[in-house]
Parts: sequence; structure tokens; C-alpha cells
Amino acid sequence: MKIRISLLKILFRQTLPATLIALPVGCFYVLLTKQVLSWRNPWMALFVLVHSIAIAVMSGRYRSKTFAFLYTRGFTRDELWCNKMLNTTFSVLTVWLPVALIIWLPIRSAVQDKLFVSPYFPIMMMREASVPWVWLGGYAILLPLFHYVWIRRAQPLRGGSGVILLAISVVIVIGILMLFRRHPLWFRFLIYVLSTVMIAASLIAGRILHRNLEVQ
Amino acid sequence: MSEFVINTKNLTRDYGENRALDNVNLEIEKGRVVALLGPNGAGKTTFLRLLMGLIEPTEGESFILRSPSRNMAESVVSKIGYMGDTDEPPRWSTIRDLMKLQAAVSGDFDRDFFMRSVEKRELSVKRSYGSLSKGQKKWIRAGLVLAGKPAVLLLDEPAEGLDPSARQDLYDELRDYVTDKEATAIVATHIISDIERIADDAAVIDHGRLITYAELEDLREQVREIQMSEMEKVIDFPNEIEILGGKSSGGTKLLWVRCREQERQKLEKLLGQKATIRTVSLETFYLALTEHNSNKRDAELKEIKK
Repeated sequence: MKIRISLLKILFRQTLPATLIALPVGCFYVLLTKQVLSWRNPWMALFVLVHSIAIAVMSGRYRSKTFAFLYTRGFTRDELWCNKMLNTTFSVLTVWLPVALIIWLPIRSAVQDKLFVSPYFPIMMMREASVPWVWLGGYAILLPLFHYVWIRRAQPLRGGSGVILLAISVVIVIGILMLFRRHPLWFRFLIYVLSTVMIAASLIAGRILHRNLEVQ
Repeated sequence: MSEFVINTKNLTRDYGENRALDNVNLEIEKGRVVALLGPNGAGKTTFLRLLMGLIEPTEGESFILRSPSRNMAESVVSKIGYMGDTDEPPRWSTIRDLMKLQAAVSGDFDRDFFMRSVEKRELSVKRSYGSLSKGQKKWIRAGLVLAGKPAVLLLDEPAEGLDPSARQDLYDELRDYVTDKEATAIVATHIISDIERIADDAAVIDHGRLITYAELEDLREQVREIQMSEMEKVIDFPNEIEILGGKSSGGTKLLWVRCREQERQKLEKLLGQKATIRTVSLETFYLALTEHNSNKRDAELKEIKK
């Protein structure tokens, strides 16, 4: 498997509309929100969800002419899959990193202090420092799953609607978990383990499916 | 022993209840250029897509350079030059982007050849693909495929949309390429007169079935057109002579038959002065095979024989 810059460039361009919209939305939300951000913030959770769906849809148009073109250039299926996952990572980081830096540097607390005279500005950076990692974790859970679901539903195989229900169920479970402020330590550990298993399973299933997918 | 570059065994593909390709068995030797002929919806595109491994066969299997189409080895997949009718680069990509993309995968990409082909059409590598005309798009895609120096070419209507001069240029380039590199090519096309100049063999597909696969030279030698008056009484053709098709119009009957040299002499004796026997072009042969569906053809044959 090789990293192909020219292929990555085309794949990145495919997801660029999602990146261009998500970047300013994410940055402005983080800069302008007066409340202290927490991992339970519903708007950022919605943002991660919509951004992940947009990336999966834009990079997985398996019936488009461009896809047929890329799949007939001479790249192996594994190469295409590997570069697609790499592009997904770049697309997420292009949005996530500036948003995280706004919190960490701390541009956000400075803006909140100077522009909005927020009383929370001294504690903002400290209390919010771990929040971007939770958002990144959200991308890590959702994107491999959405990629798999999007490929799977486009294939002439049985159970297409079943995988969509699976994705919806995962989103609902995450939503329910976010309703509770504190989870016991053992439960948090269980969530980490289950999330890791799900990410690994989605990636492996996605890769296997990608080797056999039909390009229309 | 012959080296088969392309090999299919009972290759079949269904779309729902519709059988697009039916039990196709084909063996193509190295260095052959095969004209894949057939009317719209005959199964040509499905055949090429199955060979390329883009879709799964319902039954059977296919191999390119001994590698199964659906699980091609890394060393094989980059040796195939494919140009389909459903694949196109993104509209926003420039010609330079496409050149870089193809060069990344084809280790031996011939930049000079590609640049020459771009300049031949007075294009700039800065132009976006979407800004090109239909013919220019085809030209660029064909240039990319040939510059990648593939060992196997699978081309679906490569000259569609090109003006006559560009069409001739394209087929000249293709002929030079396959001759120089001893490449193997399957070219699906409707423009038979063009492909006739470069093809070694012809494969005719109709209703998903491979009707015939033979050397073009043999077909030219074997297929004859018989022209006679409608007034002529029924002729009892020997069994060795295969009647491919026929039509009747303006007081004249036309019959296309396939026979070997010996049988042709018999035929000449049998018909004598009653009919004119001619060799036919590939186009006429193709029309004879596919113009009528089997029922219609049978009906017309009965009518003509009467």
C-alpha cells in the first residue's frame, strides 16, 4: 500500500466543500460561545455528527463517474481504501486542529475576555482543554462506521437498511450517554473498550467490503 | 503453447431478472487486437466491466494476465489501460492533475507522448477537464491510457464523439502502440470501418451471447454476400454452408453465408449465372449477424428461401 499524493489531492478536493463549511462554523462557534464548553455540548456533538456524515457521503459516491475513473486507473483496492482513510483523517484534522488550537492557545479565552468580558475566561482553557479530544474521539467512532454503512448501502447486497439502522442506533446510544453527567469508572472503561472494538470492527469490515465493492 | 492474456469461463452477469451477459467463453492471445462488436445493450460494456473487475459475475470467472479480475494482483492491475463509458475524471481536475495521477500508478508513464498528444489538439495542461469538449475529453482520456503503457487495453467506444480526423489519429496511435509493445486490446465500438483497420479478430456479442469470435481475415475469407433476383426459385444450399442472414428489397434478394474455400467453389457452381457472389466488409458481416434478432432472421430466411 502506497500513499499517493496525486490521488489524495483528488480525494481531498472531493470532501473540500464539507471542510470549507465546517471550518468557519466550528471556529466561530468555539470563539463566540460564552458558556464553558464541555464534552456534553449538544451543538458540537451535532456538528461532529453532520460533518462526519458529509465526509462519508462526499468521499463515497460509488455511483459517480469520478469513482469509476479512480477505480480504473490501476490503483489496487487496498491502495484506494488506504488513501481514502488518510484523506478522511486530513479532512477531519483540517477542521479539528484549528478549532482545538483556538481553545488551547488560548485564543478563545482571550476573545471571551476582551470582546465579551466573560467572567469564565480565567478557567476556560483549563476546563476545556480535554474537550477537543472528546470531539476527535467522536470522529474516530463515527467516521469508520459511516464509511462502512455508506459503501454497504450502495452495494447490491442484502441488509442495506440493516446497516443504516445500526448507524442510527450507535448515534442514539452516544446521545443517551451524553445525557448523564458522571459515569462510574468501570462504565467509562467499558465504553472505551467497546468504542475501540467498534472502531476496529468498522475499519476491518470496511476494508474487506471495499475489496469486493461493485463500481457502477 | 499460446499465451492467453485474457481468459473468460462461462462469464455471466444478471441485473435483476435481466441477463446482460450469458455464458461467454473467450481466450485472447497476447498481441491480438479484438474488435468487440454488438448493438446497444448487447452486453459489451458489461463484458469489459467484468474483465476489469468492477462488477461481480453472477456465474463464471475471468482472468487477465492469469490474475482473476475480481482479485487482481498489484502487478497486474497497473498493467491494464481501461477507458469505459461510465468513468470520467472530476470536472475541476486539470489535465496536469490527471497526468500526475496516471503517472503515479503507471511506473513507466510516457510524459513526452502525453504532452505531444495534448499539444496535438492545441490544449494546455492548465485546462480543467470540465472545460473540454466531448471529443477533447475522449482524446485526453485515451492519451492517459496509452501514455501509461499498459500491457492490456480495454476500451469502450474510445472514439465516440471524436471528429473524423481525431478518430483516425486515435486509431493510428492505438495501432502503433499495440504493434510496438505487443499489447493486447479489446475495443468495443460501433464505428466498424475504423476498427477494421487495426483489429486482428472480431468478437460479436448480441443479447449477451458471444455469437462469433474469429480472425478478421478468416471472416473476410469465409463470409460471402450472394445477390440474386427475387424471381429466382428456391436454392437448396449444401449443409456445410452456414446462412448468416439476409434481406429482400427492390426485387433483389441478399444472402450472407459463411463457407470455406472448397464450399465456395461448390456454391459458385451451384449458383452459376443466377447470382453474384461477393466478399463483404466487416460492417456487412456484423449487420448480417446482429441486424435481425433470431426470430426475425429465421422468418426472413424462410421468406427468402421461398
